Amino acid sequence: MKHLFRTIAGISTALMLAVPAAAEYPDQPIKVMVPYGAGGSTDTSGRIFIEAMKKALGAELFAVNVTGAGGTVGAAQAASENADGYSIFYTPIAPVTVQPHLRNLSYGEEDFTPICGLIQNPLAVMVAPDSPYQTVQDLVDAARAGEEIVAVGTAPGSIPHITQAALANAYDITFKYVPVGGGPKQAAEILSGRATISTDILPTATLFGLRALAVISDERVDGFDVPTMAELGVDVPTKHWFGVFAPAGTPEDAVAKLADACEVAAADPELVEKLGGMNFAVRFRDRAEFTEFYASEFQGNRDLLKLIGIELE
Amino acid sequence: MLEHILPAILISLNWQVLAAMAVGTVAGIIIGGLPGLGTALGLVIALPFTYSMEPSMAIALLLAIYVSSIYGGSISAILINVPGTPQSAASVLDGYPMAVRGEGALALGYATIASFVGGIFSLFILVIFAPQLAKLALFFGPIETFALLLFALTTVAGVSSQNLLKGLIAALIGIFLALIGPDEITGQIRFDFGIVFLTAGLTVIPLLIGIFAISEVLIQAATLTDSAKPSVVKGGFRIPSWAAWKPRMATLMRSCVLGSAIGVLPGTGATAATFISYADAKRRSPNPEDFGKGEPSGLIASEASNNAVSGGAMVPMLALGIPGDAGTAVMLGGLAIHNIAPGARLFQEQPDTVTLIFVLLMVANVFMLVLGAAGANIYSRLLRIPITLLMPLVVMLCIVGAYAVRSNPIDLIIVMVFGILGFLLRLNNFPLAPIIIGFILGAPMERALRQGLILSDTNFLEFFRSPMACGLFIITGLVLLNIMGLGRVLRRLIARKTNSPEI
Repeated sequence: MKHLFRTIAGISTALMLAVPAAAEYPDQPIKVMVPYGAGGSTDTSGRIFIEAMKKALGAELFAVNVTGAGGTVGAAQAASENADGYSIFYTPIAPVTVQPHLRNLSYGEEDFTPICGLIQNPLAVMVAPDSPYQTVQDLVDAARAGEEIVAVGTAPGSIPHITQAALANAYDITFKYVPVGGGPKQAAEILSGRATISTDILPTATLFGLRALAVISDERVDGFDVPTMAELGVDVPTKHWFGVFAPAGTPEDAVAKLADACEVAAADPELVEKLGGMNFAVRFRDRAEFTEFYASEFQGNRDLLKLIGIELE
Repeated sequence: MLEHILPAILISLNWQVLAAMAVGTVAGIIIGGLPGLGTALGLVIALPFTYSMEPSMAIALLLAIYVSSIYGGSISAILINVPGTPQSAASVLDGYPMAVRGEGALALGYATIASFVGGIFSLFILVIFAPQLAKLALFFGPIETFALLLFALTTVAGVSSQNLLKGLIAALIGIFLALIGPDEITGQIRFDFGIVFLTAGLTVIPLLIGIFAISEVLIQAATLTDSAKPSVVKGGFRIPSWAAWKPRMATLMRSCVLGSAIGVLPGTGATAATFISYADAKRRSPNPEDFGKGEPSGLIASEASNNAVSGGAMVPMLALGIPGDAGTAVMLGGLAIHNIAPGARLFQEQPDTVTLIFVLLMVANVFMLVLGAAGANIYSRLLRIPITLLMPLVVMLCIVGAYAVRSNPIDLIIVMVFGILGFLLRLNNFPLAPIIIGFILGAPMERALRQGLILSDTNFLEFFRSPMACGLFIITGLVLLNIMGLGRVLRRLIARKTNSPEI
């Protein structure tokens, strides 16, 4: 049966190839795999990206949400799609650079070809507005004095989880980590006083009225009068970004075209405005830069996980 | 707020707003009625259309879908024994037996009016108490959530009247199914048997569709004798008489209160609210043995409480900007697009917007009542389709609906496997609702328990230091004693004691 399908597929491919080169890439709709559910931040930003790509590429693109297991089900499926340029993958950092270190998955670093980086959001150390802690140092002093600091965030292996561990590790203290879920759940725990800090992306503070003590980014962020962790002399190496990949083996001309289109899309004023409305910051990385960045993030997160004492696969 | 009511009413009487409301209501009823598409998915589908709308139109459309999709699920539950959404799973218990008896029109009447009353009641709670209740919701943490979910689990007894043991087995099957997939606290994958698609765990909709819808189709196929036979169920819409309502008013009001309260609290959800209300109605009924055989009170309890959740769940979403469930989370995103940022400041800085939302929510409930009643004749016509055509259609819609949830091919297999399992369980007189109760409560209960254990340094006794949790544990204990028949024994003992001197 499988053999028959392959034969038919082979014949039809041969027929398609026989058609004169009139059919230039892309001549059919491109599927964009999104590893989280409809309505979430990955899905919403992904659909904004798709709209901009439609204009930039002059082709049809559509989103397919394949959800579950921290984005790994979607990533596994994206990696196993046909590498023909008609299937790409829009993902945040964790499914591609953190999860492969934690579990034995059907995909790894080599299974994706980086196309471009699109968004990078500053992370932040956030507390309740009426929290007694005014600076990160206050927090650290309290922890050293034996106070229990409860940190909340998403599932183990997620960026908030490894960020709080890296932060605690840098100061040689520990937080009690409770995986409660996304921004709204974290806010509920912090505002009610059951938890002390969240180390998720900065928009969480804006959306739910938390107070940032410090940002984890290269530079200070407009509108927040708080230092970066680097200014405080502490290196917390986690980042939170979204990028675009193709399955490994995608033809070079398709990858090149997608990468060019991505650059145009990232500069689209409508995309910038809409992402801005979500409190997301566009940080475009072209193919060469993103390829290097992806490799360093993959290795960097592996080292970080080891450093904070998480068992690796 | 009073000075904002008149402008808000004027805005909502704009024809564009009313048109959006009507479209949203019809769409919501259809989305709710089709197995698979639920409230959250319906809102996600509608969201792109609201981008270019005036804020008042956009809010009207979203609220109409939000309110009417919860109601829509009851129609398929009553008419074809297939809950359109998880929130209406408890409505099949008495709704379908009523329809089989030829009282489909009456059942739709009860469901529609109970839904309306539930929606309006919770709206008043929202308008009057939102800021105060929202603070209360914040203090309902993992430990309190665990205690409430544990209490909710006792409702298994309420829906397995014939055989408690079989009900418990079914509930355990449900809880086990909830364990498949990632352990949310450690990230470890459980019971995936090496199948990649199982690593994501199961979701409620394919399970619900398999267990209720596919098994129903199999039962119909197995019992089909004459293919030309007209369907037994009669539709339409009939308003139940006041004489029929009067003894059930207490049930209606209690279900409204329970639904609104559970809606306010995070992490419990509308489905749990319906089963809690159902079990409560049964416990207090003078004729509990009629429940499950087409007792209108059971249907009223389920439908009033699930629509009462709609207003309750809006409380933390509007007053704090913290959504309690998937539906309100999507709604929050929809409001943000129109520069409406819910939270404490919304009430102070944009009282006109808040008032508008309240008025539109009121209008949405009225539209649901009117269009629901008017539409009953139309969708009842569905049932004139010969059963040999209707059932394959149901199967097709079910499979599409199950796949639409998350595009995971394993869901197609799950629908079929659980369809057959549901069929076998039915043949052996197992109640099906406990599987759904176990599944829906299992995951959040485990999560709340383990989060609570982290917070209390794995000392369970710490849970009793929360007064709210402690109260809920005591209620749970009393209900369990009552189920085990100790209440009856005690009463008999007391009766004997008071009688003895005379002997």
